[in-house]
Amino acid sequence: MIQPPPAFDANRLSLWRFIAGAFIVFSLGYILFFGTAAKASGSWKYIIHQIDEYGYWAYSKGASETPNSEGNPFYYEAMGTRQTVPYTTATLIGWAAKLLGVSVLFFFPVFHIGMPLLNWLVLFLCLYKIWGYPLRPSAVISGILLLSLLFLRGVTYDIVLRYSRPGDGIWALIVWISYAMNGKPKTSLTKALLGFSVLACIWINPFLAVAGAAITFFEFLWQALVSRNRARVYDLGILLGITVLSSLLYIGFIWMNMNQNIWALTYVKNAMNNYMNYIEWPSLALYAIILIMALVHQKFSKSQTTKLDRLVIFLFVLEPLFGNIQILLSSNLQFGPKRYYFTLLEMACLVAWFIEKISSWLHSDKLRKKEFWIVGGVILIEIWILTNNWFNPFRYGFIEEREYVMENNSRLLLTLCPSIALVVWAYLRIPLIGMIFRNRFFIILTILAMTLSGFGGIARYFYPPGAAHHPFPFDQAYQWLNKNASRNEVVLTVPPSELRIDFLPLYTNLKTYINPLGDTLSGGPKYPENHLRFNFYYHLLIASLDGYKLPGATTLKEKLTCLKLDYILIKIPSPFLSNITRQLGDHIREVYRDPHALIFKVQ
Amino acid sequence: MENHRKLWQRQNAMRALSKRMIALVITMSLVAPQAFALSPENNGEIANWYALGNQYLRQKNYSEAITAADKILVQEPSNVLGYELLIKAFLELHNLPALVLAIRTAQQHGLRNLSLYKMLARSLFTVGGFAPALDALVNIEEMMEERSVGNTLANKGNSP
Repeated sequence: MIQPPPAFDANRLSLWRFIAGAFIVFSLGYILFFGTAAKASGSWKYIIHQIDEYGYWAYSKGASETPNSEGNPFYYEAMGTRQTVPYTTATLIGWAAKLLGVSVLFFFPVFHIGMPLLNWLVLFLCLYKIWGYPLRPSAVISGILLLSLLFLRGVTYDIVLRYSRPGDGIWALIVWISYAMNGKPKTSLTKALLGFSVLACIWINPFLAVAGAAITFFEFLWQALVSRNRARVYDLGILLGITVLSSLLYIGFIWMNMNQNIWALTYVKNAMNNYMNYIEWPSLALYAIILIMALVHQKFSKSQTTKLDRLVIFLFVLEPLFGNIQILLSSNLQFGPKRYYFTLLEMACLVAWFIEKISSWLHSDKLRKKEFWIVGGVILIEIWILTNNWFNPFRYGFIEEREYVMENNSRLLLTLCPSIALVVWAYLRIPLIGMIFRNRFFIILTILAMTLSGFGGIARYFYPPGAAHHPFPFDQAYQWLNKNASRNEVVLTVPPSELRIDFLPLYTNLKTYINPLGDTLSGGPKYPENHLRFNFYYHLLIASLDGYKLPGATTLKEKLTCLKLDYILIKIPSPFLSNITRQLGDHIREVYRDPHALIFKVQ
Repeated sequence: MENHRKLWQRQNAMRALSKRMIALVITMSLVAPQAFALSPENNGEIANWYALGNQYLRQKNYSEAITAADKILVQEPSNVLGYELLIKAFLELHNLPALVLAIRTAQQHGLRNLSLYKMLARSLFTVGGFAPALDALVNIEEMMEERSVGNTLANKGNSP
């Protein structure tokens, strides 16, 4: 047998193979999902699939402008406003685009392939290097967990598919939690990585950072009061210190920018007035089950509390806390619905915990005697869950009839537990299944099938195969505007159907006259300026501008000039074209026409 | 605390109204519209409920106005007058979710009334801003497109 040379490191080679494989998987997913979007719009340039993602790209565009306008990148009048609560990834990408002199959407494929790849890589490396699990299972389970998010009910697929939150900060939280539970990093590089991860997690997504801070704090208390391990208390104390300093820096930034953004102020005020008072039972049930399972296991096996026990108990306490925070704060402030940000991490914890517990149960004679009844019971529960539409945690045939709805994360996890437990039990208990799961070709085929059906299924959900294609009409018009319009001139995009995701601010250096997100960011209908915008646009569309008196503007000239408006962009044919030309008459001049679009200059 | 209690009571009232709206949607889905082929008596009854509903609106008795709308929509699920009453009542109550539900229910029943959607667009802007109003504007665009396609076809049919 030929021996490898001494310098040969089989694990290192496998590592690169896995990274290459993951790159292929996420690239394939990108092509499948966004390729469907490109087919629907007729171009790879117009593939933003949902409004939140559009908003984050717009923030990036705002950050790439001078002056920085990430607070409201849509309106000329709001130029120079910053975000009160920073969207750090969006801002950094905006700055990178400005530095390189490219459009922010240059980073679209980079992010959509790179973000899931980074999260997979960090989860895999943490499992392998910090938690000490074997290389191949770590890589495979990390990949399967990430891909399985595409198959769950609700919007967990956002973790893989949406720019920029929540996927952008998950890697940092994984590093943070892994070190908090496993002891201090050994080299200067890993120490720096840990410090950076804490800072990055807080700045990228403070909601995720709550989990990191809570786990660090609870582990600190455990080591100080139960284990009495001075070295660990010292390490965790330093980690808590870094957390506090980073948080203070973040809070200071928000404090300094409080007056920047009307939206942030009105949102908090409205949310606090939106009085809620209810108990969320699934989160309490989930945590009670986890506590009971941990205590029952300890009682029967007479074993010590493991770090996985502690991690699960510390992490899952956030479920009832966030689910019922309205009892303390009188408002949920989106803490409850956004618990799905933790789903990947919670699923990873549950898988590892079930592997640890079930393998120890299988070695216990007491529990082996009851195995038939326990497994039989879990199978019955699983059948009941899968046949009950209200509880089934998986998508129905990949296409949901329902709309973009955030599931109750605790209920989702509760209904996932039997599936995870049964798969782990079958793997450990039945040799044939264990052998199949360890087979390389089976694994490759499984991941390939998950990639194709997962990304393909979500694409079918967003772009149903039977739906009419809607080619984007303004591509050439944007090119004309880029050549002929001056920076920051204002364009009114007429068709309401093109306004939900208006690509104008992303592909030109111009501002929009009206935009749904711009309206929200500038305070909505409570502010007179937004009434002006809406009423001008609305009455222009329905041909009643002459008869409607805008505040402070009675003549048509005054109505046209009370807010800056330079161009009107309209697709042809349009039912609004005759209304606009008839009402605005001599005040507009046609300056561009192609088979799909028409541009008027307002004079 | 007193403010909170008032807000809570107000929200409970709103929830009750939303529940009523949902119940109405379910009822309308269950009841086949064909079962209510409108007779002249039905038309008269609808006109009476509409007049009564408007009276309740003037008296700021929104709960009763919604009941009047219920009565109309149970008889004729795509009746524009019923939706008009509902929208006016929900607008006065500043109940955005119920308004959005009203527009969706109207769409489900194939209600294509331009003046109703114009009113909806303005109402939705007043209550929730431009984002919800845009839904109604998109509906207006679709209806106007259908109309202009219809006109073009009619013109072609008339031409020699």
